[in-house]
Amino acid sequence: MTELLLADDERAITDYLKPILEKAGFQVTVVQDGLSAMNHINQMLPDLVILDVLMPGLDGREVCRQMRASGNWTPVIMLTQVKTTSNKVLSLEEGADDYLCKPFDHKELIARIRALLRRRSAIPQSKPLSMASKFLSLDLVLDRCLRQVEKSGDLLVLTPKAFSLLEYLMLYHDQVHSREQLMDRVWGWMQPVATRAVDMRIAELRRALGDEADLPVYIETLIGVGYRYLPPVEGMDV
Amino acid sequence: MNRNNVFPFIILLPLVLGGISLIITWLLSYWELDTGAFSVRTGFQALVIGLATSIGMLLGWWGTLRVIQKIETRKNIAWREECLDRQQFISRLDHEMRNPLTALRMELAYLVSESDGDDTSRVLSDMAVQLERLSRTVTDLRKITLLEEGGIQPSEVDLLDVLREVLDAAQDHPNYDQHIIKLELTEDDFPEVCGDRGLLWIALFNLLDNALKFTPTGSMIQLRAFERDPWVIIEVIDNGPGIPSADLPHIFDELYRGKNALGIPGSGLGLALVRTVVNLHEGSITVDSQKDQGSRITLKLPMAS
Repeated sequence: MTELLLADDERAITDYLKPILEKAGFQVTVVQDGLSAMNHINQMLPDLVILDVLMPGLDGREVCRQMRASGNWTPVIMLTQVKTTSNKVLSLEEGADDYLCKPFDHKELIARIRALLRRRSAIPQSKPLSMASKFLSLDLVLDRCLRQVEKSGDLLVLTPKAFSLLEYLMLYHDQVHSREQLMDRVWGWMQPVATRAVDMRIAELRRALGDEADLPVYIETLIGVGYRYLPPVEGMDV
Repeated sequence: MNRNNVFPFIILLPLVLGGISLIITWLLSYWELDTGAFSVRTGFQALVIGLATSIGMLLGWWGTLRVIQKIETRKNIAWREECLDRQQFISRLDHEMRNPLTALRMELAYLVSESDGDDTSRVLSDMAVQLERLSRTVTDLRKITLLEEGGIQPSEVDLLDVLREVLDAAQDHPNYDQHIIKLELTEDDFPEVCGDRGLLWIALFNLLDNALKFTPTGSMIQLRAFERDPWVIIEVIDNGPGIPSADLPHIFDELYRGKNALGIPGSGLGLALVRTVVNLHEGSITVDSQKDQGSRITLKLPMAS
């Protein structure tokens, strides 16, 4: 059974989140502070770690930094407060794989745990993609520092939002994202009636990539559900 | 009053008036009224009087400008302090509410998963929906203040392109087909603005969404875009019932719901977000509304230099 470590000092949350995660099929250990989290991670080697950012002693970011500094690449989901834009969170100096802003939906947490475990199972104990400065996928190279994309060596002209959307889809590839989720995570706002903005940027990406909605190589549409980036993505450090 | 508009006026008016008075006095001084003879001394006196008048008017205008500037500065300082207080309050509110809200959501999710589909489970599900709505409001409120604190990363934006996309996106709006929507563009070569395309998109969409929500079936909504150097102006005009005058000063405030908005779903944050986006672009937004005549929201954004 997949073992999760849940580190949060708020018992009112962990007392109920633990059984919810257990019902979803995970074995869950709860700790209330960063130091206990670090000890558990080193001794018990959980399959995935959920860290609250604000904890007594070591905070969540410091725990993640120490894990990565010691070469521990166990998948990490960070529970944050709404403090920075998604881009800033995704710069992920701390090396977390994913994040969720409190107050979050338990179903979304479970979906993210499953997606992360699935992605990381392909290359266990590998550096999280979120730490890479470049994404390589088929003939695409997405440079996160220069914020530009090349296809077979040719520079693609993309609006800033289309770039962010592609970066997000590649980072969380092989995962279906609803238009509402993309609106929330990439645009920073969840406006159900404005989700057509997502379709427009997807159309822009398809035009630039030469991709076809009917026969997609890169971005697949799941009618009534959302979008998914299809090909595998590798990270590269500069 | 905008400093850019006042400045040329302040320089030119005393010069023109001073110049005219100088010329008239100079011409009159060529003739002594009693003898009709030319007098250099009187002419020189007239010249000095004319110059003194010009300088006096210039100083007068300069003094007026300084007073206006001081008043504006004080207003700006007071406004900034008010904004900072508001941001700090919302930050504390967000900080204090996020853990209890998360805990409540987990507790409810747990109870829903334990219940067996009876009435209690339906009540719990309804509670979960309301709690999610509350969470969203707190989160969005915080996001608005974060936008104010964080600023934007600007690039050149083709506003006409954004407007066309907004209009296209609005076709999904449930009220779209019940309205007559017109896009009126007066310029062929429309200037770009310097800003965040995504945020401008959301701001313009929110304005149109608002008009679609608050005007009855059959109403006309006009989107106009034109330039008034150094501004790009976007107007959203409708012929709906208008906004009650008591609501007008508050419609851009966070969580404000006017009389017309009662019974219509919404977070009360849409126009506050528009105001924040416009402020971030160093533009302005104004509203003009008459009962039973309709409303005009005017958005002014500086042209890209």
